[in-house]
Amino acid sequence: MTRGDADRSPDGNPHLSVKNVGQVFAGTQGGQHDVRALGGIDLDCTAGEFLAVIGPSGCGKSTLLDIVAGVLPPTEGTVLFEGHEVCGKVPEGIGVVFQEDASFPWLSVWDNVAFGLRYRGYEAAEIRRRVEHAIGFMGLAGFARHTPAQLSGGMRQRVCIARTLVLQPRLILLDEPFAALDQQTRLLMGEELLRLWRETQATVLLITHSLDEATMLADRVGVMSARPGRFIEFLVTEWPQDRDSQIFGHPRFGEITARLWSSLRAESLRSMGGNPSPAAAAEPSNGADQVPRRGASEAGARR
Amino acid sequence: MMKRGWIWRVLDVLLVCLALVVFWQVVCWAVGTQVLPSPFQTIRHTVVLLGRARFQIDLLATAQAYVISLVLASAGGILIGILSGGWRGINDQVEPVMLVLIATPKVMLYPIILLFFGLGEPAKVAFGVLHGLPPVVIMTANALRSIRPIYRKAALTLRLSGRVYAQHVLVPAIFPELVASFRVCFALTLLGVLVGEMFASSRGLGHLLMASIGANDQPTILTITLILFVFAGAGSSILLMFSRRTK
Repeated sequence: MTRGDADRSPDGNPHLSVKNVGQVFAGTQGGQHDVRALGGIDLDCTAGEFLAVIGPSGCGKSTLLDIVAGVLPPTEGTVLFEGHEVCGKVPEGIGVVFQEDASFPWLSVWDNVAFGLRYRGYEAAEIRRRVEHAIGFMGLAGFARHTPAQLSGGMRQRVCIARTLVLQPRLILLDEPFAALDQQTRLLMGEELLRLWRETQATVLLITHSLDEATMLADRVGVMSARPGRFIEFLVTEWPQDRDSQIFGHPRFGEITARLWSSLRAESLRSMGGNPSPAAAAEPSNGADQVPRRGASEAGARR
Repeated sequence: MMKRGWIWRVLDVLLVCLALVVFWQVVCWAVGTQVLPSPFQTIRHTVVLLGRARFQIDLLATAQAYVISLVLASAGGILIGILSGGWRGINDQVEPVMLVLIATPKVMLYPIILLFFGLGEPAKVAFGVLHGLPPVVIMTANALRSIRPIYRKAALTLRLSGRVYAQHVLVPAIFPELVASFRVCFALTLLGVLVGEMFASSRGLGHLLMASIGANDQPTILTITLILFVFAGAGSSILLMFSRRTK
């Protein structure tokens, strides 16, 4: 795993480093039904990188995110965030947005967004400044006094993103945050996420099922194998930083998604218990082989 | 819009009450006032009874026993419910006992209650608690168990302490169910106290009701019924309104 100095944090370490992480969930009957969810994950993220992770259902994507967040201790390997080991609790500087609506229905939008700050000893003026900025940034200014029940699914997810944003995380973990939204809202939310990423300069790790979403949003896309999950390939998108959903029209967009699908199809079939057809293993004929590829153990690209 | 909805709900309740009074009056005309005093006679008798010292003592005795029972049943129920909902081992022991208590006619347990508490106030308080506590335990434990796991994850990622999580996430998350369980407790505890007074007490509305049944004192029977109906109905309606506001 060789990387240039510019890929690393000022202290010379990757911003996020996942080293040989594995996860086994204990089953019943003396370990006979243990489930190996992850097997030997290696991943480095540079500061400010946008990395998307795709993989077949049940391959351990969300488990990986839980481990990186510090919510779940890995059974093997280590996770380093800014050079410090993540173990047992969520480190300061990491923010997480989940697929499920995690807003608190008994609080208003304003109180939901302010929730994390209130119990960390911030002064009222600082809380107000950060919350008003986050609410404005996420387009919720007119809804600050509404409760989540009065909002659409997309708006509730924006509340959750704003709640994470006010804590000014340096690493944002997103676990399929737009999965429950319709296609148009997903695209718009994707644009907002890119705007957020550009403004905060945070490192983003996005777990998604959607090839289009991964291709549009990420600098680099990691493809995971069927369970036990491990990275089988990384693709570098080489998009400009100020991209938006217009990038769908770019000729390379189709090439990248086709390349991703060719990697993912065989794994998806394997996870469903089928065998990949010869066509699945074949290289795509639409020029996708022109997309920069990196091996599973290879480090990521820079913007 | 909200105000109109509230007014309509009140009008609905008043309409139901009016229908009941009309029905009562019609039955009264049909069977005669010797058998069933009219609504007007009952209200007049209520005013008379409320002015009597003896009735006030009975009313106060029931109110006192009821308040103590309600506090013990709801607070105890919530405490046991939290323990039961939070720890599977405790739940395995507690839930079957509570379900058996709910299913058992409590009168069967009265000899045991008397054995422990003797005749008098403690026995009827215990009887009230016995009626009100089990549903609160079951509902609180269920509320705790059905909390969305995402709240726990969100709390972890927001780096909340255990105290902040309990106070600002757990309690608000189960609060609607706590209000609902208190509503059930409110009605069942009253029933328990009255039944306790009917069988082993020398004071209270339950005791007076039994004495009136023995003496065929229809106006007093209906007066007590009316007082209990108004109290339980008003209390339940207020709690229902509060319950809706918390959801």
